[in-house]
Amino acid sequence: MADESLFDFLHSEIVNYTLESDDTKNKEIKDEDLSTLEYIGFSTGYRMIERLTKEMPRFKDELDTMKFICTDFWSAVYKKQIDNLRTNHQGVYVLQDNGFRFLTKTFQWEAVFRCGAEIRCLHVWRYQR
Amino acid sequence: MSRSATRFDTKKVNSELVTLTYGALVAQMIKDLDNTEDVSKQLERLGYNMGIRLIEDFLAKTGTGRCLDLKDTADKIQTAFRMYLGVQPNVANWSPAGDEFSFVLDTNPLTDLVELPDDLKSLKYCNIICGAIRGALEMVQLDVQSWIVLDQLKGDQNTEIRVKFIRRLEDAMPAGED
Repeated sequence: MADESLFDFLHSEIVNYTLESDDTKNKEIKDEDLSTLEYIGFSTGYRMIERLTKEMPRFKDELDTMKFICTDFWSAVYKKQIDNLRTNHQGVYVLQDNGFRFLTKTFQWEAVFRCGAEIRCLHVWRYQR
Repeated sequence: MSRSATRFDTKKVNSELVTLTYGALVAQMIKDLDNTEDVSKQLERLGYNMGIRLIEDFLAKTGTGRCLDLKDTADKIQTAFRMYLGVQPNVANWSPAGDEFSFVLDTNPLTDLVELPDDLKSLKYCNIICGAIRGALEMVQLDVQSWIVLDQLKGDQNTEIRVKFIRRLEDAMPAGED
């Protein structure tokens, strides 16, 4: 469906915009601060989840939440499920995606940045619920 | 770990993803830039960058040929609206000289969940569409101007985007070549 490519282009432009605006401002980015890109990802992820889960019952536990993210949410946003989920059962989860939608067509270092932003948005969301 | 196909309606989710992402981007721009005029210009520029890529995507997916006249162009852009935004605008308000026309949108997925606060009433929220039209047509050698005439976010009945043909662009040959 052509709609997917629209979102891909929009995403590229957002990355472009945030990189340009970070350059011009020469911001000092501390470790705890969310970068612009992460913040855009965070607020989008936050609202998406609100809308997607409003009919659903509350999640039983953390693992249930993570499973939802790895299957339903990931399919909805990235058109595929997470390939691998690992946990140390102490609050750390590792999500592995072998064909991350926004990286399959890019080759530059910004791609790493994007990936981090998207993962971070989900991570922050989880602690809000 | 696999469940059966996602319980969410893919089309609706895609559309909302675009809406919410665009909204978050505009909100960020408003924080970054001092005035709404700059934000509107930046959105147009963003749209332009997207437009120059969208046209290639569109041509690849539809395999369509050269347009015969401006009316043809308008029809193709209408198709593109349907493909990318899932809405069908009406093409209307042709100028007597036939060089200006409008797209009239009853619904606009970009503004579905959006309200403009009072202090941002002069923001051209849909300027990304104007930029995209300008960018896409520039890639096919048409210089156009595109602007918002009516905006549902400002209380109008529907959203109207006007396009005016300026001139055909000729490919410039590098100096020294015939």
